[in-house]
Amino acid sequence: MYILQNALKNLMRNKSRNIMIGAIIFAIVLTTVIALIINNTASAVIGEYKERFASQVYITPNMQKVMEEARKNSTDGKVLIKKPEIPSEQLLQFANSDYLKESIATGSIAANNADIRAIDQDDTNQSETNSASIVGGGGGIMTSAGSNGNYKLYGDYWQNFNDGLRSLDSGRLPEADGECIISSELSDNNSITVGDVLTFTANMGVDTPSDMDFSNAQDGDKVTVNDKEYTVSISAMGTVRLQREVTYKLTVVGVYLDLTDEYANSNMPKSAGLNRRNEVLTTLDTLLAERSIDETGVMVNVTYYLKNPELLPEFDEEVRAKGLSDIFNVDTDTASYEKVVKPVEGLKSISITFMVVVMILGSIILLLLASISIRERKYEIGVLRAMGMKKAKVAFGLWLEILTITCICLVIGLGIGTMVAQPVSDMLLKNQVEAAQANTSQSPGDGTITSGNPSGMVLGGAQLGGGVQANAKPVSEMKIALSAYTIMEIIIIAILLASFAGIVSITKITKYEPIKILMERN
Amino acid sequence: MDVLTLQNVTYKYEGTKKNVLKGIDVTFEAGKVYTIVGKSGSGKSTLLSLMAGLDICTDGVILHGKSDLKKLDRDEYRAKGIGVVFQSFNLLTNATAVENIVLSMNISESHEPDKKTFAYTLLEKVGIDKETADRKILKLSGGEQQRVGIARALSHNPGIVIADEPTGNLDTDTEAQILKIFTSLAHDEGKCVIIVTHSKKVTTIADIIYGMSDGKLVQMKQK
Repeated sequence: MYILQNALKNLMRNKSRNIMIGAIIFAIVLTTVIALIINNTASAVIGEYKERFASQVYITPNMQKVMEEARKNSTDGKVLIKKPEIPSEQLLQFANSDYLKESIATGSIAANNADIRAIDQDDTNQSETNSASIVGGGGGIMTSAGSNGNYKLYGDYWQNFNDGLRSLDSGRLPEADGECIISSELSDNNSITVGDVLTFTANMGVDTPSDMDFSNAQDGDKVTVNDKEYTVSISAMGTVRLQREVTYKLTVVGVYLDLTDEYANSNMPKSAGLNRRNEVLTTLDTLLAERSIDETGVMVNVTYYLKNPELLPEFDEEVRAKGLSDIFNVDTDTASYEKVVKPVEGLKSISITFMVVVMILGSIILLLLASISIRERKYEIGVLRAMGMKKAKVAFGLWLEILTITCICLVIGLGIGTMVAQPVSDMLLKNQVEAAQANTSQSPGDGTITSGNPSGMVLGGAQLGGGVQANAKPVSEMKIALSAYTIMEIIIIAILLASFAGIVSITKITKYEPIKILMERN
Repeated sequence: MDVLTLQNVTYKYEGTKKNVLKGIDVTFEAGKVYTIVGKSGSGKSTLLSLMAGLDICTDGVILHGKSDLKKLDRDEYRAKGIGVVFQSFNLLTNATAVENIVLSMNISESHEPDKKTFAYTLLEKVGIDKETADRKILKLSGGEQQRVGIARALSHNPGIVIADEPTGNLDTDTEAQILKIFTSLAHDEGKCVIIVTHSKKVTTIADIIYGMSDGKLVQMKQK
């Protein structure tokens, strides 16, 4: 205890020398604080984007291979490009992988209900012609399986609830198959209350069997495929579709409030099928229950998140083994990740380099100062040793002195560093963004898009891609935060710094014998 | 009781061939005042630093009681076993007089409950008042520093007190006062007091006087 007391008194006894040492330590600590805060915040941002871009898997068609396939299958010189599809069952099967941290499967199907009126249903009826083949009742146009209707049944689509855009107004979320929740507007307009049962109709489709001849088929003909009866529908282009109507009887268990806009785009014409208030939310299993494995209609969208971006090759191999065609690419959006994160990485690199340089230079200056200081204090050490103080205690006292100075610098440095880090970060990041943009403008097409449709592709019941983001912009703002982890790192660095300076004292002291010091002095 | 025994003690400085101390045999007892006189350079201060545990002899043995100083923890010995008054004071110049005393007591792990009060009392005993005691050593005169040095040597109540010219900077009155303290330490408190001096007045209080000449110690007078 007396060693600490003596150390604290010594700080006051040798003010000018300690202020000089303190100034150097303060400069190092301040730089370290700013650099580490920026570095750790940047790491968090990078980690977040890595998670977002580099972990999410995109299964996108390789258009070159699609074209080649189409050319290969062409018999009359005409190239018919057929939309590549991944069966929804297969998409769900891919989700069952040890390489995935998480997979989110959702589904949707357009539907109609003759018993209730959809929001904007009148506008839909006015704007649409009745020329298309109608299989389902209630006024919706059913051009292809699951693609059109006044309502959209969504399976396991809770993202808006997680985002705070939707919330329960009454009742509860569906817990069992056959349960649903509806929007408050739909509920109010039709006086639907919790407990009511709504009956929706929707269409399922199946591929035309190759062994059946449809050359003389007429709209509305009935055919049986796999023990199920389908209605023939022929488009203006002559494409034959086989569809059957299915019924969803859903019990309303809750009503939700919707904060989103009614339409995804304000320029869109009013249409019941596109109005988000007509979305009926249920479970994915409910939607899939009415569907046979070989049928289309329920648009299944599965988003896969790898445990680690490096596991992509293994996941790719696994999905190939599970039957994914070679015409699909399995990617993560590394290009967008790099584009977005590059300035932050630059910022991180600058901050760390700066910190290392300051620490090295600062440590050298500190070493010299400590060395000079210990020479000045040689006599004092000699007296203490002559009084019987052990070398270890003398060294400990000197270390406590420098540690106290470091602690004071640490507190001030943390305060000032936290305040200064944000403007410093903004300035450096701005430079990095400008540099990145200048670089991009000089070399167009620098690989920001590697494959697939920029806006993502909706391919026959499975949303593929949708994530290779051509318009991904570099991070231009970074909210600096001082985390507990950063504080801990700074404290460790400060203690190491104090110990480093203390080592000089300790090594010198071990060489000093009190009699020699006192004789030199005398 | 023998508190300090030197047997055939020889010393030479590193890198030199000449022995500064040449086979010194002497025993110091508790309860007596010893003075060592001799010309400058005769080896008095060297002998003192060996006895103070600041250095070790080249040959021979120095026993503290029955323990060989070479085998003892000499830091512990200096902190608790012996009190040294240096000719050049060797005080912490940036600290106050009282801080010097309290620090010495802390190093020696003194059990005194109120070290600061004890330090003031001790300083008063050697003629340093409270106001002076609170001044930094650098602000004190040579005589005052000398007295602080004496007080520090006595602060941890050592069995042996060694003083190198302890009255060299003192006026006649203070010298008499200090000598009285040394005499009392030996005769009343049973301590062994060894004083290296040129002063004839100091030798008057000695029970035994030794003369140091050419590295040898010779007993000159015994009361």
